Amino acid sequence: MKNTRALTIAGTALAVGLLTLSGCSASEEAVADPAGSGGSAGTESKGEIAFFTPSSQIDVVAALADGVVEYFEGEGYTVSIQDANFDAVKQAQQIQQAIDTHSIVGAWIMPVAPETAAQSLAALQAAKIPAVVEGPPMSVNLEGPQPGIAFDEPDFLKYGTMIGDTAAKCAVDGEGREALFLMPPDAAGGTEQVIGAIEDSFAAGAPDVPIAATGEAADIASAQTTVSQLLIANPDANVIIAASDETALGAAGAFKAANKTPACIVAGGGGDAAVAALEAGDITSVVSWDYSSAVGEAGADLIRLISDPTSLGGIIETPVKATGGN
Amino acid sequence: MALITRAETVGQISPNNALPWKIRGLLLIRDQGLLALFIAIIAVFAFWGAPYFLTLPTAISVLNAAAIASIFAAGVAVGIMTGVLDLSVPGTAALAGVVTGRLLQEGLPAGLAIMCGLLMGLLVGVVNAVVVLRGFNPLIVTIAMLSVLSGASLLIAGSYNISGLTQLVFMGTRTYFGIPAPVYIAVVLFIILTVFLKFTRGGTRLLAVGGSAEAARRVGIAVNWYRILGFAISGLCAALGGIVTAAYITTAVPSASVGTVFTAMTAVALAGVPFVGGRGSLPRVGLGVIVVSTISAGLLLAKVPADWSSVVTGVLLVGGLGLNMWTTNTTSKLLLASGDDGAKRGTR
Repeated sequence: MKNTRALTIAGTALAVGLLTLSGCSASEEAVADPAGSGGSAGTESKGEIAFFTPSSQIDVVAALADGVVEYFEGEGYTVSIQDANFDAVKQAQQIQQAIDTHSIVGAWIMPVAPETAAQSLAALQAAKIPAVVEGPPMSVNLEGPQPGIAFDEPDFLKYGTMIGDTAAKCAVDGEGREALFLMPPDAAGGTEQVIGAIEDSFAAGAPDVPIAATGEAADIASAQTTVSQLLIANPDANVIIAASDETALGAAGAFKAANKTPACIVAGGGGDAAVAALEAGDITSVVSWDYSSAVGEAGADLIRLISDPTSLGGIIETPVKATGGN
Repeated sequence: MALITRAETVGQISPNNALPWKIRGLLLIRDQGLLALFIAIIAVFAFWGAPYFLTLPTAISVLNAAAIASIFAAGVAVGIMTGVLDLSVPGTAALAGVVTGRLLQEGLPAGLAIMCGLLMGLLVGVVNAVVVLRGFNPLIVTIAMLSVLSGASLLIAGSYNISGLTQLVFMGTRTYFGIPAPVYIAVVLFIILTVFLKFTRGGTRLLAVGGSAEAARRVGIAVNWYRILGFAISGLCAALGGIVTAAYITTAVPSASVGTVFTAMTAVALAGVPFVGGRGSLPRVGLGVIVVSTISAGLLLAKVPADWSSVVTGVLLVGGLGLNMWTTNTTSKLLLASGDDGAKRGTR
């Protein structure tokens, strides 16, 4: 009896606390977007588009999801976000479930493991549910345009080269001495290509600024610790080439903690936190996929495919942009 | 809590009744093996990571990295000593950081926001305990809680990092007398918890409950109360760790970092704390975290690819557990063979 009462009180207190705080967050969102999730409030939805994401916890991906939601709600669709939490099997199950329940008219997929997504795409094609896939056809073991599937194709070589070029220009202009190269520990599609392109273009653009050390970190805190320790071993390092937002933000924190001023910190990513750090002057440049431009083109193609699921989808190149500079 | 003095073991009272040298050797390995490992690691990296490893800035950097991890490890260790493995720690940390961050954004004074974050941790610990006391499996309950808290953190933060928390710099990146703030926080926490566990009646009873809840109940200890206390301490430490992490990077990250539990468990295993509960030394847990951080920094300065750090940490976790099991089993066998009673010798 006593335990039941204690359980009820504790559970209620926790729930009230969480609801109050999430309500606080939700109320702000409501102010920012008075239409709420109902961009089509008051009108009948044309159907549901599911956005299958590897994780909502990656800033850039969360920003892409926001872009997709905004675009399709503006077109009269509803959008649901399905988070696979980096689990390829879970993502395949989510897609299959959406097919089986006939709950969606279209899908936008950022595959957790592109090489395992081919079966899900075949199932979508068989069910005549069109999809946009983030990645080139080759990444999902397909070749060329496919019926009912549009591809948002990133050019990893171009992306890596732009990061390397931006860092090299910044290093030369900002009197860089030595560089530290930071990357996330994942092996996502294109990582190897991006890293190679960064190294090649940086070496070509700033031949007098050697990459003194490389570091790997998954989150901001571990990146900050890693860079702090690399700065001890490489006290002349004042250029940071970061292949992710988290490593760039960690590097910025490490320089601040060490009371040092970097010549430049170039981030490859472009999530909200990195953009905020760029505006605050903590990061010099951000190179990012311009998803907002790509969403419009790929979104329009998906709407075309919804009306004709057997027609060939387009292959749309995701633009790359660099923001900031010396 | 009343302070108590610890009773001497039979071996200490009577030199004639001292433990055989083999058993004493095993106990020495169990109790001081970690220190020997630490010294060996320092010696190896002094050459391998030269000339940067054996320097004061590296030592401070290692301590700083270990400080945050040790706060989580303290919570996990107290939970384990009480007989439960609290896997909700990363979720609690994320929630506390996000709650503190949001309240700071709303303009609350830093002290009040931190208190609210800590209270969240305490509340999570109490809820965990109360549910477990209803007869649910602690592992399942804390995994479920991890899931709830991860989602709640993302909801509260709107899926984005809460950045610009400069109000927390005083407990994050600021140094006092050359030592970073997290180190002081970790040291104070370890002193408080060590005094509590070793020198107070409450701490001794907490360990007794972890050792054998049934035996503790039979001698009149309010087992449920101490279970709640163990979970509450674990939740509080996780929340503190989450807030210090947010202070360190001036950003509250809503995603739960499951790696924190892994590092904490490695340190606990290295410290020789048995996962069945009942005993353990918090200072050794602290040393365990320092060992893990030293290896990580040493490998980095020796320019070894970062993936090896993860491999070495995993090997250490299994090695620590294996050593603990080997010393405990071998000691028991030797005691039985010599007709002694392990409990009487005070070797547990």
